Amino acid sequence: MNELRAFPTMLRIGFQELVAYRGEVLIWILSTTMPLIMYAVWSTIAQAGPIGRFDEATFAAYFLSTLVVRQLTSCWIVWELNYAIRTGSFSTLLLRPVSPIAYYAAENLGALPFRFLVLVPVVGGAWLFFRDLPFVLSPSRLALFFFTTFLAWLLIFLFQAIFGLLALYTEQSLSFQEAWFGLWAMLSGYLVPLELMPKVAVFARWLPFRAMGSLPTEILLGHLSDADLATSILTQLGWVVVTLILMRVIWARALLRYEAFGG
Amino acid sequence: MWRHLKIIGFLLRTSIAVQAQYRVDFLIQFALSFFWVFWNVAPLLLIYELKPTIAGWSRAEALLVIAAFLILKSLLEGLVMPNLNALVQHIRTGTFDFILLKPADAQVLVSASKVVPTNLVGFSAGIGLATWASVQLDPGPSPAALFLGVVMLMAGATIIYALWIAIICTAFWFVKIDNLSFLFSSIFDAARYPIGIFRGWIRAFLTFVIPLAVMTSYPAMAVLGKLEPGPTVAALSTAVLLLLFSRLLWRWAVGHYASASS
Repeated sequence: MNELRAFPTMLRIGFQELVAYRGEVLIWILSTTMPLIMYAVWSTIAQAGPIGRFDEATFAAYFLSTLVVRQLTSCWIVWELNYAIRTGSFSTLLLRPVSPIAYYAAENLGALPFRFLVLVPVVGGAWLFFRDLPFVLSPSRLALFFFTTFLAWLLIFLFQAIFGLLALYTEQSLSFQEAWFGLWAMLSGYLVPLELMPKVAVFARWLPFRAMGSLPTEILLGHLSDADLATSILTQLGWVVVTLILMRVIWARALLRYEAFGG
Repeated sequence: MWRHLKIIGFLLRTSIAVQAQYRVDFLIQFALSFFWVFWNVAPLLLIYELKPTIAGWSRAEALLVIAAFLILKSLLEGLVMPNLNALVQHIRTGTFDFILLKPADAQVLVSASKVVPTNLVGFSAGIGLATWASVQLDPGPSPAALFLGVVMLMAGATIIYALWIAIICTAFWFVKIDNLSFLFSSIFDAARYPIGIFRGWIRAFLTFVIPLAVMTSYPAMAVLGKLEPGPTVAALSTAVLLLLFSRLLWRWAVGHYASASS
C-alpha cells in the first residue's frame, strides 16, 4: 500500500503547510464562537434552576467539550476538492501514486498538533475558572472519548469528501455542504443538547449527525448507560461503514466524469 | 449625489442580471434561504418552550431581537459582504486599478457592485417576524416607539457597514483577509440573542467592543419603550462617528494602494 508508506510524510507536509499559514489558521480556530455563545445562553437559562439533568456546571462542561470535539474534528476537504476539480488542479493530485483522498486525510490530520496546542490554554483556563466540571474522567471513558472523536472526524471527512466529489456532477456541491452543515448543527447537539430537544426529535439519536457531534461529549459527561453507550458506538461504526461504501461507489463512478478543465 | 444614486441603481441591476444566468444555483440558494430562516429562529422557540422568560425577556420580546438579526444579517450577506469580498479580490489581483480609473467615487463603486437577491427572503422574514412579535406585545408599541426602532435598526446597519469598511481597509496592507470576515460573521452569530442573556465581560465586549447589542437588542428595546435616552444618543452618535471614521480610513487606505502587477 503506497498510502500507508507515504502517510507519515504526508502528515508532516500537512503540518508544515499549517505552520506556514499559522496566523490565518489561528483566526479560523478563533472563529468557532458558537459553543461559547450557546454556553452563555444556556447557562443564563439554567440560572433559575436546572433543566432535566443540566445545571449551569453541566452546560459549561457540555459546551467546553463540544468546542474541543469541534476543533479536533474540523475538516475542509470539501472546499479543497471542489476547488481542485473546478480549476483542474485535481489532475496533479490524480497523477500521484497515492489516492487524493488519502492525501487530504493526511493534510487534515497533520493539523491536529497545532489544534491541540491552541486547545490547551482554552481547556486549562476553563478548568481554573469553573473548578469542578462534572466530567467522568476514568481512563476508559477518556479512551472512548478520543475513539469516538476520531470516528466523528472520519465521518465528517467522508461526508465532505462525498460532497466534494459531487462537484464532478454539479457545480452546486458547496450548497449541499452548506445545507448539510445546517442540519448537522441542529441535530448534532451543537446548539441544543439532544436530551433537551422535544420528544419528536428522538429520531436524531440514530442519524449520523449525533455520531459526528455530541456523542463524545455525552460519553465524557457520563450521561449514557452502558447499553446506551454500546448502541451509540455501534450506530457510529455503522455509519462509518455506510459512508465508506458510499465513498468508494461515488469515487469509482465520479472519476470517470472528470474532464480536467484547463489542463 | 443624484449621479451616484443612479450609478448604484445601474450596478445593482447588472449584478442581478448576471446572477439570473445561473438559474439552478439561484433556485437552490432561494430554497436554502427559507431553511436558514427556520434554522435561526428554531433554537430560540425551543428555548422558550423550556422557560417562559429568560433574563427578563419574554418570547415576543426576544423574537423582536431575532427579527432585527435576520434583517441585518440579510443586509450583511446580501449587500455588504459580497461587495467587500470582491474588493479584497480586486486588491489582491490588482484590478482595483480599473475601479480607481472610473469617474465616480471608488467607495460607492465597491460598495454597490454586487447584490445577492436571495437574501430578500431573510429580510422579509425578519419584517414578518417583527410584525408578528409586535402584535403579541401587550400593550402594543406606540408609533413613536416603532419609529425609533426603525431608526435604531438603521443605526445598526450603518455600524455594520462602517465596521466592514474598516476591516476591508486592512486589506490594503495585509492583502489576504478573507478569514477576518469569517471571524466577524461568526461573532455576529451572537447578535441573535437579547443582550440581557449575556453576562459579565461577554456582555461588556458585545456592547462596547463589537457593539452587537446596539445592532439588534437596541432596536428591540426601542420598540418595547425600554431604551433610555442616554444609550439612544450614544448609539446614534456611535453610528455617525463610525461612518465618518470609516470614510476617513478608506481615503487614507486608498492612498496606500500600491497596485499588484506591473
